[in-house]
Amino acid sequence: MKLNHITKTFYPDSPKEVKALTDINLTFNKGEFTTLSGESGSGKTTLLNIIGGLDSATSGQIFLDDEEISAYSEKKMAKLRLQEIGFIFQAYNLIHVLTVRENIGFIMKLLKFEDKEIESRILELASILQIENILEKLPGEISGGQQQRVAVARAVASRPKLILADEPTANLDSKNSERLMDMLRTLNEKEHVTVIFASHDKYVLEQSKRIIVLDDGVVIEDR
Amino acid sequence: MRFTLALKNILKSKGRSLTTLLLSLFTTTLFIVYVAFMDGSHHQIIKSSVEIYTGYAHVNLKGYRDESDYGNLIEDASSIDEILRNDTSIKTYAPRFETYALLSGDEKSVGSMIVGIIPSKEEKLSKLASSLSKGEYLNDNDTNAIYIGIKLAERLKITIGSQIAMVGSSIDYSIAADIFTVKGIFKTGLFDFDAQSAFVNKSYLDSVILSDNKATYFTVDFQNNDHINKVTSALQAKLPSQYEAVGWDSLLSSLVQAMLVDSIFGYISISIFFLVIFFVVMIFSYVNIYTRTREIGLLRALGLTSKDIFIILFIEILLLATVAVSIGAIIGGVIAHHYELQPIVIDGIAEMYKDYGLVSDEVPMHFDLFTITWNALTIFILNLLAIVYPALKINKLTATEAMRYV
Ligand SMILES: Nc1ncnc2c1ncn2[C@@H]1O[C@H](COP(=O)(O)OP(=O)(O)OP(=O)(O)O)[C@@H](O)[C@H]1O
Ligand SMILES: [Mg+2]
Repeated sequence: MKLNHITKTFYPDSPKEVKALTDINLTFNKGEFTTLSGESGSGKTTLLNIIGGLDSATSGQIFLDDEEISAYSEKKMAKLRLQEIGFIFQAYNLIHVLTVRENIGFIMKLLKFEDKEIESRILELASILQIENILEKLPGEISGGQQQRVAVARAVASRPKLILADEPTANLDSKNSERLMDMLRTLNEKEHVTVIFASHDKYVLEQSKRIIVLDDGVVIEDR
Repeated sequence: MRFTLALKNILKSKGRSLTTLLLSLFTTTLFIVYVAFMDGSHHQIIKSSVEIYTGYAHVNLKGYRDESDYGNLIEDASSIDEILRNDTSIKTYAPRFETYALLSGDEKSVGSMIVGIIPSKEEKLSKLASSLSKGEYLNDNDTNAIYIGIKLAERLKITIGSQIAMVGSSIDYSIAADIFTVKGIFKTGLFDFDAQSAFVNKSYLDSVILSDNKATYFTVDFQNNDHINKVTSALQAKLPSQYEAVGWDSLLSSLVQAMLVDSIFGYISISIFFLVIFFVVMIFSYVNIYTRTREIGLLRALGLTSKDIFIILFIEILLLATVAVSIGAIIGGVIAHHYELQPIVIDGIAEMYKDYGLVSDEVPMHFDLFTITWNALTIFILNLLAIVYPALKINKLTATEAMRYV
């Protein structure tokens, strides 16, 4: 994946104008395990959203396998997200009328996986993330950390090629953070899933193979 | 999955669903009852006009309806009588001879319709006999006895036993005159009818105006009057070509039209009510949908298209409206059916609508499955339309905008 001269300006040409991203040029290779780091307000979420096609860049292009996805229609982009990208958002991740089990299986159901396969995948992930005993609960009935783990399970369930995770460990204690990172790491190594985080969690940074530091919308470090 | 999600959204948000449900349920019931009442009063008006005197169908010479004069009489009444007697679809029938004459009491003279009837047959065909107010109804042996409307009697200042003079025209256009004794006075409640008509035994009238074996028309009551156009055209086919069979809807066409105009006004006033309801439902859906903005944003972020979102919202309202409208229609139907059998009594309504021909304060509702169906469908469609704007509006937001929404 390649980002060419990506700029994002909120409220352009108005007194409220915010330059969230300025001339970002980055290349992500298949199988990367990368963290976008930087202070609060530096543009991590904004960049992640643009990579995932949730938001459009003010200028610049994004290429995925030589296709310019920044030019995709809303419908095409939605399909790409559904099939290829797993999201873990900073907050408000789950569909509150569906149980934990249904939330985890949601994307697989939409992609018309077989019920049996969905069920075994749910059980597999639930056991890794230690959420087996809350499968029948609604999101409103479980803790923030549990919600975050359910969101992770949903994001990886259908084995997307790219996982975008915005502060996935923000609500987790160190033990759970480790488990989550281990799991994503395993996925990354075994299935060559590309993972991009936005995080300033030390543990996440330690685990990452590549760290990109943003400051005020500009890349100041890439190692 | 879209269906499951829609269903869960309904079931898990009980308050929201229940309010939507009750709103459309109430609207449906109200609409059905309103229309049933309106139709009921119109049917009542037409029914009384038909049953009091006009009858369900007439057989007359073609041309009589345009020019009701002696030039368009049934010249050989017995031949028509025979055709009608042999028609098994007909329950009863009778010839009438309607003419106009000047009636004079002691002080006053009034122009009036004089009708020659066969009293015993007319008793089964119309409400003349049962509308007796004073004195007695006619019988088949009466000679110069007359049965007159109560308002006409008042205008002539006469009562039972009074004598009135009639001056009219025989069918050969010579002057016909006779003296009648008032035998009975009737009151049907049909204002014009009570003020302008008088009845005598046809066999006697025939001797006065020389109309033996002639009639202006036959009035006919079929075994089943529900599909009047079908039965009249069947009868028409059996008649010699110079005659026609005319159903009540044509006989009372001006009344039928007046009712139609009244219905249109009724629908216009209820449309205003609907407009209000429509906006209430729409604002309600708008608020409902907006409180779910973040969740809708999440669904979009996960890869559902705005079309998917629209479909989910649409399935929700479809399910709710189906349930609400069905129950509403059943309740409305039960109410309409109940008040069809036990009419509502509104004191003074007959007086208010007497010019229309409402003769009783009892107004039954009209229960009709077809009407209820289209009433219910109207509300159903209105419900579906009410979510279109809010749904399109929310789909204008991008996924991230929606997810940020609080
Ligand atoms: N929808 C928006 N409208 C206006 N300004 C925005 C919007 N989203 C982000 N911004 C601004 O863009 C800049 C980058 O925000 P962003 O959310 O990407 O930061 P972040 O690095 O994710 O911060 P945090 O660590 O707190 O999550 C900030 O100045 C923010 O105020
Ligand atoms: Mg952020």
